[in-house]
Amino acid sequence: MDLLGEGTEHPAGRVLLGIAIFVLATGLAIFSQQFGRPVTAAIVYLFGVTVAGALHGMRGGLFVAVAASVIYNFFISDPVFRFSLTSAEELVPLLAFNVSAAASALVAGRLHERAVAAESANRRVTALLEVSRRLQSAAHVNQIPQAIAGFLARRGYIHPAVYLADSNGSLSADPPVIDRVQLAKHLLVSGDPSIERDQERAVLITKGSEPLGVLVVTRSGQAESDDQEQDLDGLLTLLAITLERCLLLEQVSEAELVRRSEEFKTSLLSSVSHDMRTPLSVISASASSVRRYGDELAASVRNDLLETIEEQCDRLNRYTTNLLNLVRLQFGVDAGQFTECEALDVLGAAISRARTIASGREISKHFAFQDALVRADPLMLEQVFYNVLENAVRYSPDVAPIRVAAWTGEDWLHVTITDCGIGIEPQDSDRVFDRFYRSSRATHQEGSGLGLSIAKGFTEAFGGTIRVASGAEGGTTVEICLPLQRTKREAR
Amino acid sequence: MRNRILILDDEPAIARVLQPVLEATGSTVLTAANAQAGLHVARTAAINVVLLDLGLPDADGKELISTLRSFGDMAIIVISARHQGSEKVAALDAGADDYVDKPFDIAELMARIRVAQRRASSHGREREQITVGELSVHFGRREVRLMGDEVKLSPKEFDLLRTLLEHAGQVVTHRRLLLAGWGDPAADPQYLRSYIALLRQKLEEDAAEPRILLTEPGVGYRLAG
Repeated sequence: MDLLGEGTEHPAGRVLLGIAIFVLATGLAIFSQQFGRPVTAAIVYLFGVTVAGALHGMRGGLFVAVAASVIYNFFISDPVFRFSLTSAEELVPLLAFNVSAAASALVAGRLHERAVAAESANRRVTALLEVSRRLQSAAHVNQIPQAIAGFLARRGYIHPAVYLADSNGSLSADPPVIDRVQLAKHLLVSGDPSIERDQERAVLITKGSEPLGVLVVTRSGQAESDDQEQDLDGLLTLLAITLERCLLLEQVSEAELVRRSEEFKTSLLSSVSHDMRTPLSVISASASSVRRYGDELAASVRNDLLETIEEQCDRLNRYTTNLLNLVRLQFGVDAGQFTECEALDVLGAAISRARTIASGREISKHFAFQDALVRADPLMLEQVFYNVLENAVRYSPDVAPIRVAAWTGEDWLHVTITDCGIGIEPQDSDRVFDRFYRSSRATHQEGSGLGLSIAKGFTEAFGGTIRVASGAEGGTTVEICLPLQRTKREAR
Repeated sequence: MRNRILILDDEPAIARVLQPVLEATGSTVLTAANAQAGLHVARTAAINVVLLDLGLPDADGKELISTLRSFGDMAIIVISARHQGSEKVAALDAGADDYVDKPFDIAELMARIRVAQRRASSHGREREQITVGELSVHFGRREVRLMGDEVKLSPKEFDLLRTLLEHAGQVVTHRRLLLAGWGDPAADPQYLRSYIALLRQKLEEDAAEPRILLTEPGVGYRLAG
C-alpha cells in the first residue's frame, strides 16, 4: 500500500508533501475565513489536516492535529489572533481536527506499517526464492557457497562455507580452513544452533533434530536488511533441503558407478568363464581322448582331435589378444605411438588373415583409390579391420559373400564391410559396440562380444568413427571412417 | 545294449570331439545344437543318455529337463561352462542325474555316463541290497556293513545313507538329502552337515579326508561308486 503513489523509500518527500498540503490548507482556510465563509474554511482545513495526518504517520499526524488546532483557533476562527474556547462553535472544530487527524494518522500509519512489512516480507521471499533457485542447480555441496554468497553478503555475512556432517557425527574438512572447521566441529559437539568466535559465525543446518551440516560465515557488518536472523532461518531451511538433495545425488551417482563397474565385472567374468572354458574344455576332452582311447580311435579321428586342439588354441589366443586389447583401451591408447600407415596395405593384410577363418568364402574388394595415408598404429588398425571382418564371417551363413569397399573423400577414408548375415536390429545398432554385447540373435555363436567394442575403441583413438547399419533385406554393413593424412600424390 | 547318446550343445567343437570318441567306445551318438532339434531327437530316437549344455540359444537348458524326462527313462548329464553352483543345483533339482564341469577329462565324463546309465536302467526296481566298494547295505534289515563289520546307524543316518547309495556315484543335492532325512527341502542345511559328519565318523578312515562320502561344494554330496 502506498498512499498518493509516493515511494515508501522516500519518507522525507512524503513529509514535505504533507507539510505542503498542511500549509496550503491553512492558507486556503485563512482565505475562506477572510471572505466570511467560516464553514468552508473549517471543511477545507479539516480536509488538509486529514491528508497531512495520513501522510505523516501516527506521530506526525498527532503533531499536525495539535498544530492545526492551535493555528485554527489563533489565526482562523473568530476571534482571530487570539486563543479562545468560549463557545461550542470554537470547540467543535478543535475536536474535529484532532480526532480526524489522529484517526487518519492512525489508519494511515497502520496501512503504512503493513505496507512496509508486506514489502519487506515480499523482498525477503523474493530473495529466498532467488537463493532457492540458485541452490536448485547446486548438484554438489561445494557449489552451495557460491549460490548463497550474494544473499548472505546483503545480510552482513561474507565468505560462506558449508561443512557436511556425516551420520556418525564427524564433519567434512572441505574447504580445509582449520579455524573454521574447528569452529564448525565445536558447534556440532555443543549442540547449540549457532556460535560465534571473533568475526566468525557457525550455524547448524538441521533436518528435524538431525544435523546435516554447518554453515560458517564471517560478519562484515554491512547489512542492508534488518531481519538478518529471520532471513538466516529461511536460508537454513533451504540449505537443509539442498544438502539432503546433494547427499542423495551423491549416493545415486555412487550407486550408479558401483552398478556399472559391477556390470562390467559380471560381463568380464561370464565372458572369461564361457570364452576361455569352452575351448579349454574342447582341448581337455580331445587330449584326454587321444591319450586314453588313442588305440581304439581311427587314425583320421585321432588326427581330427589333434587338429581341434590346434584350432581351439588359436581361439584361446584370439580371445586373450582381445582381452589384452580391452585392458589396453581401459588404460588409454598412447597417440604418440601412431605412425603414418598405408591403409590399403593394412586392410589387405586383415583380409588375408580373415580368409583363414572364412573357409574359402568369397571376400570381394572394391577399392576406389590408389593409396590413403592415415595416422594410426598399424597393428591396432589391422585389428580394427580384422575384428569387423571376423564379425562378418561369424555372423553370416557359411557361403554368403562378404564385400569390402573403400573410397576416399575430401578428408576421410571410408571403409565398409558388408555381410549377408542375420543383420542387426536398429535399436541394437549402438549396443553392438558395447563390451561383451552379443546380439540376442547370435547368443549361440562363438564369440566374446569384444571384437566390435575393441574396433570402436581403436578407431576412436585414431580420431575416426565406426557405425553399423542393417540392410532392409538383412545383412550388416559396418562403416569405418578415418581422417586422411595428405595422400602421397598430393605430397609429391 | 548299445548306448544311444544325444549331445545337446550349441558349441560345435564339443560335439566334434565327443562324437568320434563316444562312438569309438561303442555308443551311437546324435547331436543337436538347439533345444528344438534336441527335443525332436530325444522324442524320436530312443535316446538313453543326454549330455545337456545349460546355455542353449533357444531355451534354458534346465527347463528342458522335465520335458526330456517325460519321454522315458534317460540319464541326463549336464555339461556347462557356467561355474555357478546355483545353476547346477537348479538343474539337478529339476531332475538331471549328474553334471560335469567344463573343462572335463573324457574319462570323468565316461564314468558319469556309466553311472547315470546304470541307474536309469535299474530305475523303478527296488533293490534289497547294495554293495558299493567296501560298503554293503541291506535295506530290508536296515543293516550296514563296512568291510564285513556291522555299523550301527541312527534312523536318520540310515535314511541319508540310503539316498546317497541309491544314487551311488552321482551327486545328490542338499535339497534332496534334506527331503530324505527331514521331509523338508527347506530345512536348515546345518542339520545335514552334522549328520554327514556323524556318518563320516562311522564310515570313513579319516573323516577329514573322506573317500566314500564326498563333498561337492555348493551342490551336495556324492557317494563314491
